[in-house]
Amino acid sequence: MSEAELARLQRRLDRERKAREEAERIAERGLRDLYEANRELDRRVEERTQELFVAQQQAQAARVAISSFLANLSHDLKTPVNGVLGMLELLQEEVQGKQAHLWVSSALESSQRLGKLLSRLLSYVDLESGAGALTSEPVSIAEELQQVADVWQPKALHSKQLVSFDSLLDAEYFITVDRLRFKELFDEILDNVVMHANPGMVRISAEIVEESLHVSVQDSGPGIATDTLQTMLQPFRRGDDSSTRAAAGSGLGLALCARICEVLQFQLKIDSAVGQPTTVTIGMPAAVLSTSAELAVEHV
Amino acid sequence: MKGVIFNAVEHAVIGLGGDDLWDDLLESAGLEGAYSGMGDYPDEELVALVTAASQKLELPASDVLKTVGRAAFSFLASRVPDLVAQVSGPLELLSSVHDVIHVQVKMLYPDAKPPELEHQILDDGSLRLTYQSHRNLGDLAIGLMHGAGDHYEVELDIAIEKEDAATGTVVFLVRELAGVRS
Repeated sequence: MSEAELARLQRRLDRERKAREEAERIAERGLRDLYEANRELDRRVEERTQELFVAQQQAQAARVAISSFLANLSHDLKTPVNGVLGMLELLQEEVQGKQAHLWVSSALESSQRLGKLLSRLLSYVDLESGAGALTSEPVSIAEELQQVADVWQPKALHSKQLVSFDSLLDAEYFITVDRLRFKELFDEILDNVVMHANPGMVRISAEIVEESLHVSVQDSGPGIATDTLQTMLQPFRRGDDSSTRAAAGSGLGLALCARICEVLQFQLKIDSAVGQPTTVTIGMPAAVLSTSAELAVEHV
Repeated sequence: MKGVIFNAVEHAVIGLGGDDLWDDLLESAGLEGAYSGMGDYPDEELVALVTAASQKLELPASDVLKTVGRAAFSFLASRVPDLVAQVSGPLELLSSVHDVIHVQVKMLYPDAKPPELEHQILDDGSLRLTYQSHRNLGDLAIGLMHGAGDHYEVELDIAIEKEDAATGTVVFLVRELAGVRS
């Protein structure tokens, strides 16, 4: 092999070596950049997580403060409102003259609404903060729901509605539950129906579906739009948020229902569409159901 | 220019004329020629290599670029084997260069400046490919397109519809010649 050929081979070798070293340098730089980028990413994730944690804490603190403020406010307001209510009731009996009687009735009705709003607010805040402990006792489904229907019938008549209870149960069922919350749940549902639904039938029914108890309240329309259905379970959101709304209401009733269901571990479902009846269904788990009061006591 | 292009040229030259030809070209161009695929090297080095080849082989630079491009295709194709296997022919491959291959290139090398390619499938099935690059390497592109045809065993007819050296733009009309596919 000539010297020139040897020199050429040597140059090829040098070339290859240099290219390899260059490749290694580039790869190392790439890896280092990647490592730095990863560290930066880690740092930012950590930072964001921390920010999120702080924001969460602040939100939680704000929620507690609002709850406690609302609870105190409602509580403080309840006493004078009850005083006003009592006085107005007395005044209604004493007052003379048709016009004066109307004014007192109107004042009484407004005070009753105010009282109810305060009760709801207190109840909601109690549930939100978990302050009120739940009790447990066996409640006869049919008896309790019949009572709900009976209590609401006179008020429903003012809205030209007929309330019925149809039991589709093959036996007497008991539920182990906080009776007051249970009653409150159906009172709120009926209150909502009586205030907003069309004249017609309001049908409460109870049946067993796949071992759980389904209690439905179906009205006679006018139905709820789909986008409204999605927000109406949030507090202070009314089905009709417009200022021209016809019916009164705080927008707290259904939110309270949702919260009670959550606490009692019931499933709440609302089926509706504009121009259709609305059906509110409460699903109660098999675990709290029994066919005798004695067995129900064992759940307590 | 990315080192991988120099590697493709080196591969093509060695395939065409052996290691000695590559040595000769580097020597007459006055280049060391240690190209790493991941590295970046001055565009002028490619110009010097093409000039050297053109002088040595007594061919116009455009022919050198076309020949080298055609021979360099297989090297570049070996870098994206899945993509080359996925498509059924050269026109389909050319249609995907800009949106697939160049996207990958830019992902690996954010500072890379591959040519801008726009494609349009015409009613008769042929392809209008607009190439634009400040490097003015339209002839290399022609060679690579023929190389793609060779890979799929399809002969291509490549006509230049429009050319503007000032902007480095060339509009190609590429069609497959019927009955050539084996």
